[in-house]
Amino acid sequence: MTDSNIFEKVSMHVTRGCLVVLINFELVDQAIIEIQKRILERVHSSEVKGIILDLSELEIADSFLGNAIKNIARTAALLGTTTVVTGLKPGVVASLVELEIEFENIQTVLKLEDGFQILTNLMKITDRELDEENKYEE
Amino acid sequence: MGLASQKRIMLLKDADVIHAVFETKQYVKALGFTKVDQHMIATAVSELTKNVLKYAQEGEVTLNTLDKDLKKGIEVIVKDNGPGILNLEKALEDNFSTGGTLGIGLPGTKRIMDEFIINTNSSQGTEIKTRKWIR
Ligand SMILES: Nc1ncnc2c1ncn2[C@@H]1O[C@H](COP(=O)(O)OP(=O)(O)OP(=O)(O)O)[C@@H](O)[C@H]1O
Ligand SMILES: [Mg+2]
Repeated sequence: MTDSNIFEKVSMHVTRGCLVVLINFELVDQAIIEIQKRILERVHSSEVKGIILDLSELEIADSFLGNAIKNIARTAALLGTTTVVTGLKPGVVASLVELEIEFENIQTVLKLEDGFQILTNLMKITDRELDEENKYEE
Repeated sequence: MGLASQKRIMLLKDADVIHAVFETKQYVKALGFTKVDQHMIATAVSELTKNVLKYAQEGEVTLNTLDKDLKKGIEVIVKDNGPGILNLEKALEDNFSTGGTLGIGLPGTKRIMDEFIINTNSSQGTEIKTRKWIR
C-alpha cells in the first residue's frame, strides 16, 4: 500500500442495512483497487442489502475511478446487492460525459437520503417477495 | 502574467499524480475558471499524468498561463522520455489501450480541452501540449 493511512480517510460503515462509502478526495489507482476489494468483501461477508457510494465531496473522477465504480456495481449486483451513487458534482458529471463513461444500471441521486430511500424501498420489496414465497411453501 | 506563474511538477511516483491534480486545481481556480471547468481540467491532468507513470515511468507536467488578446487560459504540457506512442492514430480513438484498461484517457482529455497537440517518437518520448480558454 503506497498510502498507508488511506483507510483512516475513506470512511466505510453500515447504516440502516446499507454500506455507506464516502470517497471525498482523489486516490491513487492502487488505493482505488484496494477500496473496491474491501467494499466487495464487506458486501460478501455481511448482511448488507445495498451500497451507497457517497461522492458528494469528490471533485475529480477520471477514467480509472469511473471504471472502478462500474466494476463495484457490476460485481455487487452478482452478489444480489444494489449500488447507488449519490452527490455527483457538476464537474464530475461533465468529466464522465466527456470520457464517455456511462453509469448504466447504477442509480444516481443527488442526496444521500434519497439513496437510503431507494435502497430501503428495494429491501421492502424483497422482504415482501420472500414473505410471498414462504406463504406458498406452507 | 509572466514566467513567474509557471508551475512544474515532477512525475516519479503514483502520489505525484495526486499532487499534480491538486496543483492544477489551485492554478485554474486562481486563473478564474468556473468550478466545472476547474474540475474537468484537473481530470484531464489526472489522465495524462497517469499515462506518463504507466507507459513511460517518469516525466513532468508544466502549467502555464495564457494571456492573449482578451482571452485567458491555461496551457498544460505533459512530457516524458518513454517509448513514445507507437500507434498515435489508434491511441486517440476511444477504447484503444495497450495497458488493459478502457483506453479513454487520451480521447476524453482531447474532448475536455480546447487545443491538443501530441509530439511523440520512440527516441525522445512523448510531449502533449494542451490548452483550455476561459469562456
Ligand atoms: N505517455 C505515453 N507514452 C507511451 N504510450 C502512451 C502514453 N500515453 C498513452 N500511451 C498509449 O496510448 C494508449 C491510449 O492511452 P489512453 O490514456 O487513451 O488509454 P489507457 O491509458 O490505455 O486507458 P485509460 O486511460 O482509459 O485507463 C495507451 O494504451 C498507450 O498505449
Ligand atoms: Mg490513460
